[in-house]
Amino acid sequence: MLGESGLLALVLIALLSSLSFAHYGWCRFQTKSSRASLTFISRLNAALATFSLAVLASLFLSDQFQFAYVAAHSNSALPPFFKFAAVWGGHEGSMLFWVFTLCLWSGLISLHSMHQSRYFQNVLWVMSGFVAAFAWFTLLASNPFSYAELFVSEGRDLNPMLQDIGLIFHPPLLYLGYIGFSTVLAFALAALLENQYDHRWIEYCRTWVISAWMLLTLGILIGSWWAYNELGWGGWWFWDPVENASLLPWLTASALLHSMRASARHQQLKLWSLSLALVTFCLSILGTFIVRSGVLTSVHAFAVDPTKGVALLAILAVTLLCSFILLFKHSDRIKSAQFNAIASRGYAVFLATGLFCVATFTVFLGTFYPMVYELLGLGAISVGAPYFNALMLPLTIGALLLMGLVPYLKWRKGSLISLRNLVLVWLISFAVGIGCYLAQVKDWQPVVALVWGLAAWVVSSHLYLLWRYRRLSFMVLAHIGIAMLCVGAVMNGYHSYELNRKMAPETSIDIDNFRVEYQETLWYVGPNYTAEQASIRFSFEQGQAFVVKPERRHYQVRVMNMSEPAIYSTWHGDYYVTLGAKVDSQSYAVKIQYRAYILWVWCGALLIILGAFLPLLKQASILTTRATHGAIQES
Amino acid sequence: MALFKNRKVFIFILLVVGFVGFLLAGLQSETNGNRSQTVVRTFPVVSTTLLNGQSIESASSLLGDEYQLVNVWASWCGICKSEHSYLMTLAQRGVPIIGLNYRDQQLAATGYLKDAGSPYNEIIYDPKGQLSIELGVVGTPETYLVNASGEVVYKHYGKLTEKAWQKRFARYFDKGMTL
Repeated sequence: MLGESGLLALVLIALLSSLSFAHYGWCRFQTKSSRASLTFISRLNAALATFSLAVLASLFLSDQFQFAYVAAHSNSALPPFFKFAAVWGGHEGSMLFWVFTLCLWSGLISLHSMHQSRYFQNVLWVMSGFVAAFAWFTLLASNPFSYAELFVSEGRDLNPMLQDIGLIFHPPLLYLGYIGFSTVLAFALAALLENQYDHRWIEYCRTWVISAWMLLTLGILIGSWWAYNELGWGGWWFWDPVENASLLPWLTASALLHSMRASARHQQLKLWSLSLALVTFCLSILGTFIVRSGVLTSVHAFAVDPTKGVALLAILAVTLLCSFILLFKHSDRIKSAQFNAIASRGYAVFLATGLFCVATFTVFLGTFYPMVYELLGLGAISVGAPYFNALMLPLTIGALLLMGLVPYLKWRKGSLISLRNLVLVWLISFAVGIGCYLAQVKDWQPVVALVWGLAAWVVSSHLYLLWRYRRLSFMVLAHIGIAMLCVGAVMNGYHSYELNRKMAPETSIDIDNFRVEYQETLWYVGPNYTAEQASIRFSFEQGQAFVVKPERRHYQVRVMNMSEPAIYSTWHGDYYVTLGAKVDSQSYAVKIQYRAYILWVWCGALLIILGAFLPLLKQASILTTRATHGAIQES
Repeated sequence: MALFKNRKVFIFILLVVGFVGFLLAGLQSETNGNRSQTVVRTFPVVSTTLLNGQSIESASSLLGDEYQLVNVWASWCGICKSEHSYLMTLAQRGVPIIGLNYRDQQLAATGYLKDAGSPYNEIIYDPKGQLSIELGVVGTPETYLVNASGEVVYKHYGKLTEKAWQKRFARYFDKGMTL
């Protein structure tokens, strides 16, 4: 009965949202009455969606294998932690999670103090349209509550690749981010729905953009970290189509964060902000389509079904057409302020937005080009890291140069320090950056040196900003984080190395300035797997030493072997050891990698995320003050 | 001005329709995505035993026909049971099918075939799943299309249906057969 109640909740969401969408639309555009309110329905849907998801989770936790989705993604021996994560481990569950997140976001919007205003009702109306579309899609094309065709006493187990702490957080955060942009689209569309274009939408949706962007960033970071730690590839970014799918909305949302600043304060770039707000969620839907339809070859091998793709494409097409035609209709009436000078912060923001758009287009092209190529019958082609790295590098360098310049510029016109001092500061920080780099390596690379120099320039100019205003801001933390990330990325790209060796217990090899010693092989039994574990000792000339324990696990239910790498992290890089196949009775193929500066990538990304908390905290404190203030007034 | 605006909308609609159409074409295409295999896998050349107890030098020596199916099944697998009658129809049409009995017990497997009839020309008995791991079996049922030189041309996950057959397999077998 429990499963049915979850299904019933889903049916109710679909019915309620589509009926209220139609009713509100009718009232709003035909009878012009403003009596319909979507506040209650939005909150009710949020409650129902939470209930439905909770039901699915409890089905997993209590091993209800009569449900096809549970049987396909769980097993009674699976640890409870992963049973819970398996809720979004497959297609059906993640679509339910989509619906849940949509309902949750729209429920949150309905809590805004102005929720009864016409503008906010319009926002909720757009949201309920999305809830209806995705609820019907989930219900008809990917129902997680459908029964298995045959009774099975045991489930197929969760894909071992997904049995990691990363899975518990990566997809939900990514989805929260992806779908968070639906609110941004709703805010922009609602502004366009008014007869008089209401400029305040940017003020209202700022918090939502930042929170969605932060969650997406965190989701991408955890995904990347998970690929690095769990999948044993030793890299952090692979330019895989599915990774690109999450990068596309991230890039446009980042552009939006910049252009919004110019629109909100200085009335500049208004059309840019609107277009970016609309396109970001469309790219999120496109991303989901790429992942779920299997239209592009990717490492993210999901059980794919082309028919599901068609429905997602239809939603995408309707969203794109409705929103942009509305924008075109209003575009003449939306006037942006002109830039006063090239040397102004406003213009720099415009350039930054442009750079983000070029980057978006580059990634977009690289992701879809193989498909065009194959469809035209020209054969198979793979666009990989070399293309992306070659094109992203100049963009990154341009971005770093610009980022370092911005703190010295005034919004309207002119700079805070003289040109002579500017060049001087630039030269000094550039030299310091290159110096830091040259002190560390024997064989230096010009590209890496350039990035080090520019990163130092970014850091120094943002420290200047910090000193000038004595206030830590989103911009300062995010830009310093980006600089760190860039240094980490190029160092990782140019100064990592790896070697493969056949090793048996009690043998050792000497590399550069350290010795690797294979001590012994251990065996143990995990909850749903058996494992062979190697104990490998690293000792350095300087006297340091540590032991790492890479594993090979065998998962019985899925008959899959997984390699569990062992990692020893230092500030300048990771020692990353993977235990490969067994070569003979005693020895294994051991892969030893040194991954330079990987910690800088994680820390840079964390700093960016931390930065996003600042405006959110400020907003929260404003809200609480307002709430207490209001309470005092009422009493 | 109005004309210009309409043209803008028109161009935009064309772009969206073009892009969506392109993605749709990608969906329908058979060469794209995860369904195509970038690396041609070959049928493992390992010694194995048959369900009737006979042991053979190399599993690939069973591949006598130009194209044949290798069907992974087990008596404990429910979906295999529902797939079975379709396999029988295929066998009657003259499609050569090699069975790969996966992680099963010999008695249970023979009993299963005695009750339901055997669509298989030969049956490889793989109780420990050794050959299956080499082949890349993820679960049951799975059906592989293998040519005479042992190359896996196509791999089908899950239950084999008439629809999947017509789309992926039929064209390899249409010579001299009424399908």
